[in-house]
Amino acid sequence: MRIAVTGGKGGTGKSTVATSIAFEMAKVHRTLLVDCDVECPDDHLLLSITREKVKDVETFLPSFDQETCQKCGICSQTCRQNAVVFVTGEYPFLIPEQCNGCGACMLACPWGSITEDSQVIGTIYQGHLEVQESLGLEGVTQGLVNNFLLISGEVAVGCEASTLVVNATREYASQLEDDYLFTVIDTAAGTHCDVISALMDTNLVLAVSEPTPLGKHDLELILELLEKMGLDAKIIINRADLGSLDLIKTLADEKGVMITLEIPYKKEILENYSRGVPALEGLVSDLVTDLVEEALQDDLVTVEDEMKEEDP
Amino acid sequence: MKIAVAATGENLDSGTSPVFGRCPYFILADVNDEIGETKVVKNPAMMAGGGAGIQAAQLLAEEKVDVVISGAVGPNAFEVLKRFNIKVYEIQPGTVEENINLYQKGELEEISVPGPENRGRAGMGAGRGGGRGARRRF
Repeated sequence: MRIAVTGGKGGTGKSTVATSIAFEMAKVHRTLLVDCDVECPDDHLLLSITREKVKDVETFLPSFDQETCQKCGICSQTCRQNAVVFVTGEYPFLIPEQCNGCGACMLACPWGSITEDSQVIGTIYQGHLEVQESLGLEGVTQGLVNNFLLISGEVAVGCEASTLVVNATREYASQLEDDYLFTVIDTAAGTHCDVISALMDTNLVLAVSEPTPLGKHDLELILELLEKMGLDAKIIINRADLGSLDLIKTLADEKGVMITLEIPYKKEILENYSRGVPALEGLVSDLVTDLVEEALQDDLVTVEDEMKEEDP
Repeated sequence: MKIAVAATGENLDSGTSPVFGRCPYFILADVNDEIGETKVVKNPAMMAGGGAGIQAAQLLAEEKVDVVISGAVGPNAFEVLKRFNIKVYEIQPGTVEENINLYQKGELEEISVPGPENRGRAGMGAGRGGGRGARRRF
């Protein structure tokens, strides 16, 4: 079962919720946490995980052969990104930072002068929880360590094609999913392509927001997006005792979306956060129990899967 | 020599545009001791989805411009202009003609490093996430 954590507004606690839920799930079930906030992945920081590189994410980059180029300029006219520069009488050239790797120029070139090259646009990392007594994290047992894997995508600095890195991260994670009962996907803020790619093909979306006018505004946007995508959503209100809860409750009623958790503004949460341990330890256990039960009910996870898990 | 000025209107009396890639017009002027023939070019990159600066720079290279008087030029556009040996001078408030005269008197400053990316896009703030959807096209 895939659960995405999103919310629209930045800084509402998406990663805090995603890491805490994944941690809680991994106490019992094999759980994959996929950090798709590729412009600033930080789930590893929240869980004190040292990431190791799995592989580079590469994309197509055109290579121009001057021997056969007839200087017609069709490559430049074809490029919707304006990444191929052509001036009459000169050879075309590429601004690699602007290229999104679509390959249209190669298809359009009548002379076969454009060939396939590649550029690195990001990196996929993975990481395991560590038993760190110094952090005072009592819950991390060897079983939990074995149950949990973090996959984390990160776009190269200056690269605009971040969505391709999200897609590659999702694809890599999907190859591992057979070995895991739950996948928790942490998305970026906003409702842009990176977020959409992270949300696609998920069974449930947890929209984390806060009871402020901006939180309400951005939550509304993400709920509308989820409706368009036909995805089931539940709302989590963070810092629920600050601001005006009615703002979110009214919106939730209007949209017919259930509020599944209210997280208080507590010093302990911030203390956990600052120590790099699951910030909502203890606060999400009921939610996770419900999620697991619902997954079983809806056949998103089968009893056989669970049996397999117990007897690997 | 051929000078291009980023402009908000179609002639020498028009105001100057503070942006490069998405300025509405470029006024091209043949300048020796005085301003000779002029030509207005509507900037096709004004509404471009991405790479507006690159497209605008390509246009000016096609027009065989020697000097551009403009506001901040982003890194990609700057690279294109540099490749065609087009020099960039910092535009001043006022009209196109006033800026050409200032250039002639040596009173405009040459820009030798590119400005920040995506300055000209409406709604592109410094804030994370602001307007990004419009820019990504995957």
